[in-house]
Amino acid sequence: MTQHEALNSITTALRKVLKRDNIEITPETDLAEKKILDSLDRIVFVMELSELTGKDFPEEIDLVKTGILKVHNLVDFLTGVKNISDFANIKV
Amino acid sequence: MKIRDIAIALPAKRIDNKLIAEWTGGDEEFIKNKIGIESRTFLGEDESQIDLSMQACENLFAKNPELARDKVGLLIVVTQNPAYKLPHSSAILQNKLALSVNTACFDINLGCSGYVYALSVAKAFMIAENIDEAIVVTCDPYSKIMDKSDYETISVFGDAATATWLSSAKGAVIGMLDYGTDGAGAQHLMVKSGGSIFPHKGIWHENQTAVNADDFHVKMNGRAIFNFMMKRVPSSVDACLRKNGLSLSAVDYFFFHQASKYLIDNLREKMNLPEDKVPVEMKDCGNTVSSSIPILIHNFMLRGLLPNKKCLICGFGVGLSWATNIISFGGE
Repeated sequence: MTQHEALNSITTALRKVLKRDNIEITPETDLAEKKILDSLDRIVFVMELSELTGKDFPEEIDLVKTGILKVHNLVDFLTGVKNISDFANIKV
Repeated sequence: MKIRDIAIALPAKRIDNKLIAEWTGGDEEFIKNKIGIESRTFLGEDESQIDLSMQACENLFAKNPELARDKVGLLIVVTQNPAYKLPHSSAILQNKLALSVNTACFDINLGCSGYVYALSVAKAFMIAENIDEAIVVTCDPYSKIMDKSDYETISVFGDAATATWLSSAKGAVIGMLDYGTDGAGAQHLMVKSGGSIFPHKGIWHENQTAVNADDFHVKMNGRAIFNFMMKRVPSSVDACLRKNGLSLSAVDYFFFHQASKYLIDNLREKMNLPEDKVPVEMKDCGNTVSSSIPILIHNFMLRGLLPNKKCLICGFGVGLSWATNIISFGGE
């Protein structure tokens, strides 16, 4: 998966979860910290992203504490630059 | 064996979102708008699971004078938070309700799928033992096992009890059950201590400090439970419809376990079900575990909405466990 495809998947999943088209994100956006996704929307977002990309987000990981909801981290994970175990505090 | 009537009981102590926000630092509006709860009721310090179960049963007897206590042949209590570790709550309740000593009494240790399972267990037992009248009680007071500061659980759960009268004579017909269990996810909704692995006290555990006090609280991995539900419920609904020879459109109401508004809305969207067929009614009671489905049926009965209706009931949660059935109401 290319960076462009990863960003497209992230935007598609966000649109579906938030039920709106005007989603503005940059690689530096933290979807949790910026309150783009609340604690329930995060769950559905990750599920949608997983379905779109085939990438598994283990249920044991803390989506916020690991920083995986920062867009550049998501892109790195989806493009295979980083593995899930590369993120801080993750023991898989 | 048919569902004749349902009575419910809620504790007097009502807890609003403001207090939950004070306890947890959580967001009142979020609880109201997304989880779908405005307030919930908790048992008081001196109230027990037996007290609330008793109240639901007494409400049932009061509503139905024709239900004679000495004719009740079976009493099932669905709970994972009984009054005592032992004996079973149904035995205590049998005595307090002055039921016959010939009443078969046992508890079913299941959470949110418990009511749906219990109906089928009761139906089978009544047929096998030729019993005409039975009562199924649900009461799982999570207020007794929650950590006051744990936003994920305390914002969601509430205490309630229900009592369902099952009769061989008349009432709503209980269909064929679809059911399943995925114990691989057991840790995602768990009270770790108090059992034989981490006992409160025992021969080898005389020093209570060996047990972490926080492990007596219920812990929930909300994401894992959400994923489980989105994966298992649609296929269980399909399987249940097949077993009962029904199509999706033949179902008038889908009474899903009231886990949270957000969860049910997502499930409804995934299954392309019409909003008016999938009620969400938990704003005044929260997620009441095994009581949520009988509370919904009770509310719809009270409004006179169920004559000649087919209702799908589906419970899912602790275990991880799920169960789905069809209840067919007649024209009475």
